[in-house]
Amino acid sequence: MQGRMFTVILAFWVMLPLFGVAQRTLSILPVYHSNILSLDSVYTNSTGDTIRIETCKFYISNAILTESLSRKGTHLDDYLLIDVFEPRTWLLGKVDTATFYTELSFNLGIDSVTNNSGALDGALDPSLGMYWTWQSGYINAKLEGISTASTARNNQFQFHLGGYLSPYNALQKVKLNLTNKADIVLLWDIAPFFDKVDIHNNNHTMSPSANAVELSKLLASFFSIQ
Amino acid sequence: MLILCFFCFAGNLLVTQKFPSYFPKPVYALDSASDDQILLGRALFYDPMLSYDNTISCASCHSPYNAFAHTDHDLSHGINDEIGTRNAPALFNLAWQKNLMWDGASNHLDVQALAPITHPGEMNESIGNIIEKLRLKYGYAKLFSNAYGDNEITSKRILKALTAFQLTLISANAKYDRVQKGEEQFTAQEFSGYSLFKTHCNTCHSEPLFTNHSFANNGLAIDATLRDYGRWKVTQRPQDSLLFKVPSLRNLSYTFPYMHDGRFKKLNDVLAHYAAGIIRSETLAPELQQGIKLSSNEKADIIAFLLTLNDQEFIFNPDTKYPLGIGQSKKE
Ligand code: HEC
Ligand code: HEC
Repeated sequence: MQGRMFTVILAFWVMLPLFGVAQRTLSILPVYHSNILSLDSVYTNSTGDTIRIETCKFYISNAILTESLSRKGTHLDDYLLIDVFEPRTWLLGKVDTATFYTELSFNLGIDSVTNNSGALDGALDPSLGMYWTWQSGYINAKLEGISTASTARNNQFQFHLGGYLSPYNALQKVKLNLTNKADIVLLWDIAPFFDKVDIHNNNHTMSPSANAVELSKLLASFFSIQ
Repeated sequence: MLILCFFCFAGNLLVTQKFPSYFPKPVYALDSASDDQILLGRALFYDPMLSYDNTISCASCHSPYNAFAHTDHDLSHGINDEIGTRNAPALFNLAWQKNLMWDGASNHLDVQALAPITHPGEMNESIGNIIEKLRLKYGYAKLFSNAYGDNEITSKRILKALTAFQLTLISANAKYDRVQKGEEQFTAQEFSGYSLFKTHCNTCHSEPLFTNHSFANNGLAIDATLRDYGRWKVTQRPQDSLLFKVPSLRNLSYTFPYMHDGRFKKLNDVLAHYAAGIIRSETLAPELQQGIKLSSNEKADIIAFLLTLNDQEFIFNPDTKYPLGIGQSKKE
């Protein structure tokens, strides 16, 4: 366990120059247990099924760092599209080195006001594949791949999670405590997803639904501060 | 960034399209786009390049001579003559309409266009590819730079331009409107139809837009092959099963066939439905529980009134027609 954690830290340290070392950064680190997620890896879940992840993207929005004493909040950049397999998208923002923040909060997904705002650009460009075309709304998170557990065609699993209308509003709020002034590394370990979700029966969600909300909650629960 | 755009194009002429004082406040700003943005949107609307094999334009299904509906076809036809599952609605007074599509699946005019463009049976194209094609097509660089200050082509610019054009499709000069303005008078039969209309139809097809923009079950029997449950597909709430958007009743003479699946060809068929064809189900609108009892004279009167909602000026407005010479290659 110790060794694995070390690999993660080492790998991350190697990538630091990408982000510019001089400043304190807030970034995300997507892992399967303690290995950085990779397109080339085959993972095994607790029931012995193999998993290959081919697409894994999600939106982080409205990130706020809260100061310890004043409870003052600092907003980070508005809407970020994280592509787990594109390390340059892992950097969420640069953080003031002097201030002691005690809390990080953000949304996993896109809020309903933005979902109702017509055509947008940048990370919210509807042609990025994170927008449903037959029905208005952003796909908050996309997870696709192949697993021996899946009974679907070619053993695929395909989760397009989103929906902004009640009762199937899939947006998730995440709140985490911070304890020091170091770089903030937001660890996202997706391994439990494949232990908790019965991929045999639940391998395909392409529209807003109760299942999409449940799965979104699950994805949101995988964040922790390293 | 939106707001910025709104202000940098102040000089607009076409967009200051007047609508009558008895119209409600539109949900989209009508003065936010410039003439050049509207012109670009118009060129795009009529350009078959928006489809995969360059054969289908928006106007293929939304013909200007049919108040931008697809007449003669009960269900719309797209690429390779693929048949859709719904009747293409008329396009006018969209500035007052928040939810689009028969089931309200689209929440904004900007993003509505993504549906036909990417649908495999409609235009079967991607925005990315359209951007590539437009870059190469003669005329568009100028249209984009006139509209947006530089000739960069983005999905947002394409979608906003289509919206700008569609917002100019205002139908507000039917006989009904001239009567409202005191310029003309209803005949006795039209007046009788108007009174009956206000009693039986106006709660849903509310004046002056002739829709309250809600969704309702008006008692149509479900089509066994299409099995279209309307609004339910979007919200998945049982109370929304079989609810469809209340359509405007303006321009009916140009927009037949009627209803979401184009099942009725004539207004007579529609009135026969309301009088004696209502199918009861759990979500049937309260107003229609007993059907609407109408004598044949009363039906004729209502139809006479409905015909006063035809807006010829709108149908023949040259400013919304195929834009000759725009976006055409030199050789064509
Ligand atoms: C293949 C035929 C077809 C093509 C091409 C097509 N549409 Fe449509 N359009 C339809 C149908 C059918 C509907 C209704 C769909 C539904 O309710 O699910 C519709 C609905 C709409 C609506 C909603 C109207 C309302 O009152 O709810 C708008 C706006 C619209 N189309 C604009 C466009 C634009 C812009 C284009 C070109 C980018 C386009 N359409 C291309 C068939 C088509
Ligand atoms: C409870 C609300 C309600 C009432 C009352 C009502 N309608 Fe409708 N009407 C609708 C809905 C909803 C539709 C669309 C249904 C569909 O396509 O599934 C519709 C469709 C129509 C259409 C077809 C329009 C088109 O473009 O396809 C006509 C014409 C029409 N109604 C006329 C009338 C008349 C005339 C009356 C009064 C006698 C009336 N309606 C009363 C809700 C209502």
